[in-house]
Amino acid sequence: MMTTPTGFDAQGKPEISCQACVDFILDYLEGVLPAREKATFERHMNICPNCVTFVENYKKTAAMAQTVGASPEDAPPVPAKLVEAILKARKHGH
Amino acid sequence: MMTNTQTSSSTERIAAEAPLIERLRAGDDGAFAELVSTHTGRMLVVARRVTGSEADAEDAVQEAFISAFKNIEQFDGRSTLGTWLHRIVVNAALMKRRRKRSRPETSIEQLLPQFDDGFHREKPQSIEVVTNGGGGSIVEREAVMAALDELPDEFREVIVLRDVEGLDSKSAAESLGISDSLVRQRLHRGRQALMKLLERRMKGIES
Repeated sequence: MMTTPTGFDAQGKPEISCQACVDFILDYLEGVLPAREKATFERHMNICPNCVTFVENYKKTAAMAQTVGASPEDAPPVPAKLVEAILKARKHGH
Repeated sequence: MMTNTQTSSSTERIAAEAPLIERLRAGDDGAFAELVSTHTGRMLVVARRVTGSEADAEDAVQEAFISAFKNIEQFDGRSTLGTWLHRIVVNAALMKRRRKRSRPETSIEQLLPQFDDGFHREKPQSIEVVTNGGGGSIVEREAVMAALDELPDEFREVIVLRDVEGLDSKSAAESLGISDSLVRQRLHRGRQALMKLLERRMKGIES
């Protein structure tokens, strides 16, 4: 298949669709997308503002979920009665 | 806090736990108390994120420990106790959540991007712009937790393990008993659905 450095094919249409681009996002961000697809993905990103916004939102979404996990205020104090109940349950042979 | 599994070698940590495991297998009360006091906090955090409820999280942690006590002989020592307990509490919490589910789940399909002829049907709006107008990190955090709660469980649990808990795909796959590739597929679709839910929440649109 003929490729161009522009992200468009010989007929002037985008080389790949947005849907194909979206399918590549996770592998691209994790650095496991094969070189050929990676180059195609990057060319599409050069010509498609919708996909640029979509990928930014995707990254932001993952980052926000990761922030929830890293938040120190999220760690609850351990209720002493829970620890007691767990150890008691063991004693009673549960 | 997120566990950083990369900074210390698993092999070293597994070796360091060997004496405790021996004491657990010998039925040493002190060893069980040590196990519970060391891991309960972390397990509660995980369980709360999976169940979305403090009370259910406590129940799940208790059930997880009871299961662990019963099965300590079967612990093969190939992972750390923390990893083993994590897997058990995730499963206990998932069971708890599944038993209590009372509302129909949102279908993942309607949360995924729509395409016409392969191209975006709607112009995506930047979440960042909306977020800046919506407030600080607590607002974001609450929005993420609420949006996560709307995801179908199979996607929610993968995002909780991979993004929220920071596990890699392989560890998440082990915890969930599914393949690495299925974890990645669900993560990818789940993130896109979460993105849509966050867009809606941050725009104040009720879904």
